[in-house]
Amino acid sequence: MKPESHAFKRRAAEALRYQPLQDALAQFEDGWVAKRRTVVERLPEFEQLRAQGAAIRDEALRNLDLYLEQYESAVQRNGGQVHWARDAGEAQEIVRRICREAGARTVTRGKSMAGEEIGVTEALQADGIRVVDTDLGEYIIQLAEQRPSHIVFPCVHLTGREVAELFRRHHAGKTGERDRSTVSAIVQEAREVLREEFFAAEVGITGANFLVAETGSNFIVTNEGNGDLTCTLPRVHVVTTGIERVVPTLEDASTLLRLLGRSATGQEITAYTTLSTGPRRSDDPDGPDEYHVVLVDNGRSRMLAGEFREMLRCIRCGACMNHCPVYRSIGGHPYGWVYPGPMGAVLTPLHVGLKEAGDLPNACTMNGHCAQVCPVQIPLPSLIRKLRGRQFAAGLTPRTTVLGLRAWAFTARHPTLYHALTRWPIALLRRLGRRRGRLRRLPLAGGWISQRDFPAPAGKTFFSQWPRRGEDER
Amino acid sequence: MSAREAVFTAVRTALGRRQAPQEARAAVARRIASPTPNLLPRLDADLVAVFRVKAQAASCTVDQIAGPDEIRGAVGRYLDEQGWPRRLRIAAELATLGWDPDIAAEAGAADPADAVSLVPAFAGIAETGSLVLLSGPDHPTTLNFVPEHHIVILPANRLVGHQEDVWALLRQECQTMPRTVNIITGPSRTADVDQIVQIGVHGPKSVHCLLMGDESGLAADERG
Amino acid sequence: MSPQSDPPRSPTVGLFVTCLADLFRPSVAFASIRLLEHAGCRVSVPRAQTCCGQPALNSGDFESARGIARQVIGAFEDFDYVVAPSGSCMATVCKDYPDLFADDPPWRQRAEALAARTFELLAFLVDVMAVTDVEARLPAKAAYHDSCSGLRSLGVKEQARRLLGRVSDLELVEMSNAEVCCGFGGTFCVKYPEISAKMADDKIHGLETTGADVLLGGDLGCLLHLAGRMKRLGKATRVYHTAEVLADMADAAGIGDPER
Repeated sequence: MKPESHAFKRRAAEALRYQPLQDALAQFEDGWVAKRRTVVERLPEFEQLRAQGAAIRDEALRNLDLYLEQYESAVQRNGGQVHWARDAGEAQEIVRRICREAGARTVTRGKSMAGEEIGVTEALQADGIRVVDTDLGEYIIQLAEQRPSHIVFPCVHLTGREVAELFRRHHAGKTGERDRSTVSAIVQEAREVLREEFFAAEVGITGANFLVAETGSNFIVTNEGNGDLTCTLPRVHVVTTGIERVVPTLEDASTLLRLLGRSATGQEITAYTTLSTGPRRSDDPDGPDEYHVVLVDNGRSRMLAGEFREMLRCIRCGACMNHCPVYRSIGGHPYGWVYPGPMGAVLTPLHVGLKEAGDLPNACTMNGHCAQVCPVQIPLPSLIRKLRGRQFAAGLTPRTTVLGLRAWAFTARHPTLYHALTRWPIALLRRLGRRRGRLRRLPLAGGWISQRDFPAPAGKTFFSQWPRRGEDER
Repeated sequence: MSAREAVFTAVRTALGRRQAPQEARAAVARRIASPTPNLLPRLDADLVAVFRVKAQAASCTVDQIAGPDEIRGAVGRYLDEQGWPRRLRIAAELATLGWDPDIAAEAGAADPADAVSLVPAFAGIAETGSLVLLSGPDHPTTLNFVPEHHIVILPANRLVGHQEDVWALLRQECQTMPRTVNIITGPSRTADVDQIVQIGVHGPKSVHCLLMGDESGLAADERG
Repeated sequence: MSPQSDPPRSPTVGLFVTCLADLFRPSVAFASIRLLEHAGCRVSVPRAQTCCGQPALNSGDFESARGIARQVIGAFEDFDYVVAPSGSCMATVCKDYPDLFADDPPWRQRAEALAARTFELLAFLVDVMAVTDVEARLPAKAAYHDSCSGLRSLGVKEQARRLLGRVSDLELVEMSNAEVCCGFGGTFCVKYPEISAKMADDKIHGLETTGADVLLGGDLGCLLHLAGRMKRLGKATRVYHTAEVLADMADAAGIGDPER
């Protein structure tokens, strides 16, 4: 996906004014946030599970080379094929080749964040292949020719009415006029239309929530059942996934699955948790003839090497963005790439660079709610701050900010000078604001004053009142 | 250098090593060879009761029957109650239950026109109210997803506490992994439209569980 | 953190004033001194202090942050305790200073030693000094805003409510969104003013739903931002720092209100 993170500020301003989005985001508190809280409260062991989840992910990362070797052997032992891609370009080539060799004219897709990263859909469409996203939210986004705004609820920014209109426009040929006045009717229509696609596809592409080194399997977790129809009906099943998704054993996956459902949708488990291992067996009446796993690096080994390794623990649950007050004010589009919210604020700059995505780690108040809910204990604010450190070191911080900081830091390290210097501007501000107790205009303080009055200083500074030298102690 | 070599080199370099040290290799091998459950949430001892509550909370209906003799009757009753025709796509191993003439039951992979399927579960998980179904020559995976309605027979002595217990069963009872293990908890659903949960999307619109026998595996009339 | 059974007898406490209290509202510092002395502490206010270094730290200027941190450590490490009327400043000292010196063992050790004795004001009064009562009165209906750093980094939540519950004639109500970030976030509020204002408006809406006429909090950054936004919106709500109320100094003008 081509990054548009540089447009963050403009998109955020638009998002703040777009009422349908604001209405959708306003539902999160009593919706996904409350659901998660309820289901977590029902599990007394939840905090221990978080720690175990983090430990499992750390173990897999610490020995990633070994687990990938084991995983690859196990896949091959079960009749599957493993392909390796250094970057998005190589991954696209691999998927294109598999589809070409399969004679694919229609390809169905289950949800895959890695697939979005590498641009699978665009690559196949360029080859004249029809690509159909089957997760309902992704399908709607595809019809709307928009980008997803949440990793779990991709079309949360669209209203039911807009979906009905999209269906009317795009399905008219297939379904004619029909009732689209209820959610139930819309979903029934989607079921009928997509059913045809499921059966037509020669290739089905899914992501993987987890890869199991022990058995060479992949887990997918859905509520709709689209992932299952995508990986069972076509002749060829392709899994697009990042190399960091591997976990040691089935038991390790079970622990993480307990965390994933609760954190993503407030469910103890989703309707479908599916483990796929290789192609159909010789005596299976259904299932794919071929099973391909496309393992993508695309910058993950670089993250593994450095101070951002903890970010690779991520299990893509979306809890961080559900609880982020910034995401909840502007939605996912301003972030401009595959991953929005707090995890996006870390991953996007690491993938597309700080020059493109510089706003993302800065549009954060460091309130820490994301870290509090992350099922694998990723210290997101700390990682965001590290990115700010990189920006500063790379000279990407605006010159005025750098100079201002330097001036501030200098005076702050010289207390006597600081105490002396600050008396005057404070006295001036106090005089200007005395009548009302606040200032409505303040040169050089545009960022503050555009939205707020500036409370006037209450009097002299503390240190100009506090006795000095020999009278420090009372 | 192939992409595979490049990725492995990049990963090893990131981990600060040219080759993984022997101790790490051995520890990884041990962990994989002897999989152990991590923390298991506490469960009430009465697994059947836990299962019923969880399954029903996930909109899976549960009916209890004493033994295989009662399957046909329970299925017929259920189809009638729902107002559906007495026609089924069944797992091949259920063909011997003698469906004719009451119910038209055909084995095989599912057909898009099939309205109701009937399959036996490999196991059930009390913790989440889930049904575990494996792919296999007699019970193809499409039976679980293509028909509109899904009926699953779960012998009560195949009901385990946690998902981890299923992995133990799999390793014990299967020579090799099946192509597909489905852990199914209620019917398909989505919340993608207006954040309202709607049941019945791409997978079945309903799941009905026939919980058969008691935990000892004996039918009611066989118990002492 | 549970209260100790035996509070320390007459400990020395270095008061960290905070730059915002120094410049904008010294009464918060004076209130802190009053509360600490009333609890039996011997309070000093070292002059060699200005700022905890958060602005530099959160802008990625770790070198400047380290310079300021060394100054703070040097000025305060001889006291039994370091206390500030600010969760964010004390979280910086407690949680961030040791990490700043990850590659500098001697300074890291000093930072860790200081962190172990560093507290937000109300957490110190309740958890360490076992204060259970205050002599204060405020006839009003007030809601308390949980500042994020204090809440999530330092576990400050119950302590404020416990002490505010002892203020005569004060009706304390809970906002449904008490724990939600107010949108200050340091430089965030001036870099992304519109998002910041929206977050403030959400917080204000939660406040108005309670019917409270007073807003309280433990961090001046949050309070200046919220008071400034409320004044811009024409709200009459009075805004105070919790320390002022507990020290019976809330008869003064609220933040952003003209002096009485």
